[in-house]
Amino acid sequence: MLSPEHLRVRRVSDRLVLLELSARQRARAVELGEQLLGTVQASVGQMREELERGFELIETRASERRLVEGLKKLIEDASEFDQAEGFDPAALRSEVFLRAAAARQAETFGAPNLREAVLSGAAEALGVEPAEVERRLYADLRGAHRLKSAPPFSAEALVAAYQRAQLQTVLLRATSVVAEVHCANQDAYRQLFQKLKFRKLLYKLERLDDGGYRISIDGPFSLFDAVVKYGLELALVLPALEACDVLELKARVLWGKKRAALNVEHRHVRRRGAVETESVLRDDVATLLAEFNALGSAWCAKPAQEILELEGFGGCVPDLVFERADSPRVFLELLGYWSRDAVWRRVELAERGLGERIVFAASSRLRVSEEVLENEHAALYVFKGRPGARAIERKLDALAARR
Amino acid sequence: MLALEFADGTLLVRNVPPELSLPAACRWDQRSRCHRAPAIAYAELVRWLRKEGVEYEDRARKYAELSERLVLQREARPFQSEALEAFRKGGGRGVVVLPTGAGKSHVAVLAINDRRRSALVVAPTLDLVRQWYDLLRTSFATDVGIIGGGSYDLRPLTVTTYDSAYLHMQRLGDRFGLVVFDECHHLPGETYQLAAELCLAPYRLGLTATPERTDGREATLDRLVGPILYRKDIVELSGEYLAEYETVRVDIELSAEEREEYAARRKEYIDFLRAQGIRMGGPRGWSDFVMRAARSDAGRRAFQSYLRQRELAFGASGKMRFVGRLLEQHRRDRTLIFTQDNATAYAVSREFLLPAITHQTKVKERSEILERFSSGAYSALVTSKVLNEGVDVPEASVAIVMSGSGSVREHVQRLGRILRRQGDKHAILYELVANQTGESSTSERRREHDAYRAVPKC
Repeated sequence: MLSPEHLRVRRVSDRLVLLELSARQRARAVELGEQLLGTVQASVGQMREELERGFELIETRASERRLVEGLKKLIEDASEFDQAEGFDPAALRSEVFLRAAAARQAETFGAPNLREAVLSGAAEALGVEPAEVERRLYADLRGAHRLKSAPPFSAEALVAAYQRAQLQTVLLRATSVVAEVHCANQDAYRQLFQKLKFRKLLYKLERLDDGGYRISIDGPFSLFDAVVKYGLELALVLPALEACDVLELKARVLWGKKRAALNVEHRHVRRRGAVETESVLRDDVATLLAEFNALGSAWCAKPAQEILELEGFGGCVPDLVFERADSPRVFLELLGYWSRDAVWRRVELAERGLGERIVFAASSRLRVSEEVLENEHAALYVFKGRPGARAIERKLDALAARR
Repeated sequence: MLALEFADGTLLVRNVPPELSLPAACRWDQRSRCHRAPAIAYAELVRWLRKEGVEYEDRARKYAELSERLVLQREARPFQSEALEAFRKGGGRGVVVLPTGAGKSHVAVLAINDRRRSALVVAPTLDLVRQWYDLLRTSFATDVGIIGGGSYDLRPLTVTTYDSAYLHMQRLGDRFGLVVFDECHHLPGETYQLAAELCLAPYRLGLTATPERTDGREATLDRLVGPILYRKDIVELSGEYLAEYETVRVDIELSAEEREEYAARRKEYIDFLRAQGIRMGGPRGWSDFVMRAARSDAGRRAFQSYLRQRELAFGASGKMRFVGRLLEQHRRDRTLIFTQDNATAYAVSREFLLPAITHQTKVKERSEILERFSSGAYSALVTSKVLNEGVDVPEASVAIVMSGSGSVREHVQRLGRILRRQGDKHAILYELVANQTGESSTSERRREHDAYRAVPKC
């Protein structure tokens, strides 16, 4: 991540505007990136201080400072540094300082050449030259770390990473995010909602007239105060938001020392030819899917593609769908063990009618009882440890029998 | 029946009868379709429910009565007993202000024993976490948990840092009935205050020597912890409960070369300020300077000059020589040398072969240095700002402030490091100030405290 001093932003009234790189600026950024990457590649084996001196030799204009510092930060983060080889500097310091302390308390303190005598004594004990002792005394400080390897990416990739990192850095100071997303692919929605669940963010979902969704995202405490506590989670959700075909994001951030409340807007259109989002099943869901299909049941399980929503009340994202020739399909959402609150929300949704049959599976650690949801379209399955395929099959059969 | 639940640093209030109007702290949350209140409102909410005679099920509170009792019965000093009594009278919520070295932590131990609830102690540094861990373990003869610095061990008595409390309180906020905020002047910071808000502990004790903050946010402590319940200053306890002390300001002349370079660098920096119309004393002085310095090559040079003239004042060669003389003079005393920046700390360490502690020092080495300093194997150590709080060595009797900020609190804390009473110890603090530099006015600002009365000049 970058720091605010690395960002190219401008405050316009109550807005914080991320400055886009023009074609000319982008070309210059790539040129600077090439020089910085060239310097780091040429500095492998050197100390960090020497690398930083190398960076200083690159001629830049004052107006480019933020960009250059940001690129340097990304390069240093992706580089691998190592401490100087040889003996442990902390052990060396211990040897030297104990000797010096003993000498200081002796009557001879203040005698000429005492410092040299301490260093010589330590050098002799360690079997090295006195100059080497002095040189290595603080060889483990950051500036003395040796560059082990340079990052492998290109200057173009570096500049692209800088642009994304800018927005993520801004989102670190976000108190809330409203995202309007459009996806041709339901999987992108699914992954987005899974990600929001995983990050323990709360959201309000509204269907847009043109088929997309407006998602208002914040955290539990946001009801009482605009806090940046959830900023890291909001920043980490960005890749999932950008995986949608079109993203229009509005964020409220607290910016600067005075924490001015500013608005940030960002529009992202997924490039054609960009890698399609893969449908990735969580480990616990994949295990359940495999175990269920190994039962030899009349029900056939497969990953669900749908989002079930109830206008005005939000929705849920089932993990699996079960199909049987003589019965309507039944969805299953595996809620796991992290949020009792999520169970109550699902119960309420189901009671209002989601339009599909569904089983919600929740851990017994959430202290909920299966009796809280028993209607003709929905059921709650409470499991101990991990969900059982056979128990789910019984739930499916029971739901099918309620026709 | 109405039910209270703890959820991610908040309280969920479920099954609210339609005719019941909840206190203002509770709001309807459309996202979870129930009422929600910040966890800090727990005590107020429970009191209100009891007063209104509303039956409720408390699923929020996960803390327990403390089974451990205080086994190490140290006799409390009169002011410590008075502080405990004030804490009781304040309903177990409030701040106790005592000078460093007066035994604030013993007041907390007494309060934990008095309230008998699972307790969390929040401290600003890992050194202090280590000291609290030792103190609680010995006082209550039980295992104590640590959260922070790579550990996550949760127990009825647990110690953590402000950083970890901020990170984890949304999960831990239901586990403690009492929270002790050590050096609680840190708490009103924009992020740290959430640690207090996400926690439902009905009992809260703040400890500090200096509640006042430069941003004036100390008033927030009233809401986060409680009001100031008890206060004693250094001057009131000096002699009887704190060591006798003196402070000496030493004016150091720059060498001719240093003076020449200082004047040239300062001129370049001041000329830039004048040309830009920047008033460094104004509220936006520093941020204006940094922003405008970044916009031009002249600005960047002015910024470099600012840093260099400061560096010259902080690390003047005359200061180094004087430190050498003081180390010789106090070679049998335990001496702490404070610097404003790491570079000067390491320069002193290399020159005099003294151990240094900065924020770059790893925990293991830092503990080893402090243990050796405590045992006397090291008689002196140098540190930048990291030991302003957090080193508890009763034997330390000499402090040398080579450089520092204009903060009164920092200066009082540095003095506090050597004031813990031991035998007939007489503590002395030397403040080295580069003469006729910007440091002279910085020194004037930081000594605006009763503790720095009648300062002799060398």
